[in-house]
Amino acid sequence: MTAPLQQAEKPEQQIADFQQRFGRVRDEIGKVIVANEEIIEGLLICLLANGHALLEGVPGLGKTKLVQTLSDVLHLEFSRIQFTPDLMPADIVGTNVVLESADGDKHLDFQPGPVFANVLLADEINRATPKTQSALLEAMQDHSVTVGRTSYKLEQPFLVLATQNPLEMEGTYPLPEAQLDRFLFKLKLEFPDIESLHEIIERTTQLEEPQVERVLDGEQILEMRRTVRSVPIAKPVQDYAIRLTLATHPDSHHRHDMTTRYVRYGAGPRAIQAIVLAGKIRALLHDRVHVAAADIQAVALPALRHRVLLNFEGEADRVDTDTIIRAILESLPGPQG
Amino acid sequence: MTPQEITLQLLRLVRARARANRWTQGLTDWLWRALLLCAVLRLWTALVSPGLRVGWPVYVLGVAGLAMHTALRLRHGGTLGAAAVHVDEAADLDSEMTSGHWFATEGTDTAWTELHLQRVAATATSLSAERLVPREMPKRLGVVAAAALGFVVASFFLPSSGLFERLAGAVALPDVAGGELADANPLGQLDEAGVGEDAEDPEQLREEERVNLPSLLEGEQEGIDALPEEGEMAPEEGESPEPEGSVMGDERGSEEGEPQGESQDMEVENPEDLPRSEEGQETPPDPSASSEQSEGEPAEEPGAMMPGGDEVFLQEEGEELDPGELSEEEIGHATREGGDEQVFEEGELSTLEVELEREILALPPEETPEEEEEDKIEEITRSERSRLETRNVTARSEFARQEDLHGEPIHWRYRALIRDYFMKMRARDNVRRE
Repeated sequence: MTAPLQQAEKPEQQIADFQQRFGRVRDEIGKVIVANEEIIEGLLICLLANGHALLEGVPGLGKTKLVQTLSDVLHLEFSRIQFTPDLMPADIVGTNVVLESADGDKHLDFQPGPVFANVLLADEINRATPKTQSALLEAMQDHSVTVGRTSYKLEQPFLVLATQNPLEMEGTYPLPEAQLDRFLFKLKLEFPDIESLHEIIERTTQLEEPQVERVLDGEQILEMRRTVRSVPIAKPVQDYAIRLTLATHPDSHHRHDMTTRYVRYGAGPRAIQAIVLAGKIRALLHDRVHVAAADIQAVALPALRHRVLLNFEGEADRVDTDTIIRAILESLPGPQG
Repeated sequence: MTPQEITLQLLRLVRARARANRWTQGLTDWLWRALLLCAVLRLWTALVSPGLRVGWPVYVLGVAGLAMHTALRLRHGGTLGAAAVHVDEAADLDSEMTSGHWFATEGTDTAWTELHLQRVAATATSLSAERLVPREMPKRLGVVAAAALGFVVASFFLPSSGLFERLAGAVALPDVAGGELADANPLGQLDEAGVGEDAEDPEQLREEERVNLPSLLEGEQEGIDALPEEGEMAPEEGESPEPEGSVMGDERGSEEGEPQGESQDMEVENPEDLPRSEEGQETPPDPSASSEQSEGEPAEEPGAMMPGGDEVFLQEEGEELDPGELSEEEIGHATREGGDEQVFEEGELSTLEVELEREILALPPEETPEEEEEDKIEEITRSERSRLETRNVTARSEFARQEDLHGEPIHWRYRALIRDYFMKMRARDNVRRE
């Protein structure tokens, strides 16, 4: 296991260590998960940017397997919640129960729920009621849980990886905008191609399935997060990220024609934070100490696609938010000096 | 040198070269616009308004205005930040120079920014400003050459060739010709011809002339048409004379009518010949012919007088020329040679008042009682036939009910929308079906 980074280290050393650790985690996950390199990188970006990820894909594409593998690679506590319509908030955050001591005294004791973990898999999150979904809001944003009058801090690093099925919409509760905004990235898993399917079959039908090693612990992840936040960003590039986000607003003067026609409400400030932080990570991965416009463009799709709300016309015309964001990226001028 | 200085030095070089290119381009634009403006002003004063002399202040003002416009355009841009963006694009640097410039000028001093500035300085050392911003030839150099050529031609060659005077004369001639033609008042000519010699009262005579003008003109035209038969210069029979508009240079005449039209143009081009053409119109009219033709086509006759008069003039000169055999220039020369140099001035505008005869309208023949009876019988027959052909027509109210029952209740504009709505209600099934 790599030694913890020291903040006094030179940036070059920090960058090298960052890239090495990132590469090791990616390689370990790649032992189990076939293809989906972008999805794996997106998950790690969410982890290192102190964000959460929403995975969307049809059943059987390995969403849950991916999250389980990630938790195996990371030396972190992992818990899983299968969201169902009858799930209650207390089932997630925990509850106070009456306990009786040996001498017969009774007292309330807080029994923490599955949210008290480092990596939380919220499987099929859209099957729970909005009330239960909202139980995650505080945990995801403030990394704390309030039960009764007591708030409990969650241990860092804390990462929520939620999955949802885009097809099974009956009996589901689409995530509200506030909940969606808490996710740093929305990652879409595509159906694998023939070669990937061959690889999946070969790996999963042998006598022994591939095993992964734990290559990263929580402290190292926190140091990597600090490294990420050390990367400077020039104001022209930051301005580009802001203009990109504002272009998703139909009322902004940076808006795109498609935005005017199809968008009801655009992405908020959390989107800019997500873009900049993810851009910093991508810059480090590409051995740069500055955020480039290319980094902003590369992370714009997963950072913005779930934050752009379509209007009725957009829904009726079945416009994909990815299409709108791509159109914006094509037409938006780059950083201005 | 520090990394910041190396970076800024490269950016300054790039900015200077980019600025030089932009100024070259701007000056080229200014030059061709200024040349074009001067050439247009020169042509305008020579052709459209020869009387208005455009002095050098106008040229200076125009050129200065263009120079100010160019300077205002070039005033913007040219910052170091813009140069950094240009370097990033030209050298494909992933915003490295843009970030480096910002860190060097406004960024905080950290180990990360220092590292970045060192990297940018290394990159800047490997870059060449000449490669990043090569000297550009002005894009509109060809336009400048064309504008300069136009200016030289308009300013020096055209004035010396005398083309301006000819073109200006051509533009001014219609006015002179119009004035002369206005002088060719048919009434005045008829006065000179002594048509109303016997009239005691001049006013009464003029009134009679107005009344009889179409017939008089017709008679005169017939006399004119008769004359060329003797000199073998008359147009063929059946040729209709050119209308009055053709005297003004209208070339819509047929091929056979062209000689007449040419002679009219020739007359316009040679104003000194106009009086002699009037002499040619002094042929006494034939009263009988005029009375016959006045019933037929009175409106065309006034215009036919000028061509006829022209033909008479050529005949009287004794030059037995066949208009069909002569070109336009030859005819023109022949006419010019016989004329004297005279100075003309425009007279007062005269009017032509014409009173048309009343039109006799043919009344429908009166039906005899037998015919009326036949019509009635025929009318009855038609009525019976129409009754046989009638069929029951559905009432409007029934149509409306049919539309309600069988018509499409959803407007076609909303069908796709409503279909999509219900498709989305069961998205899973729809996706499977698709």
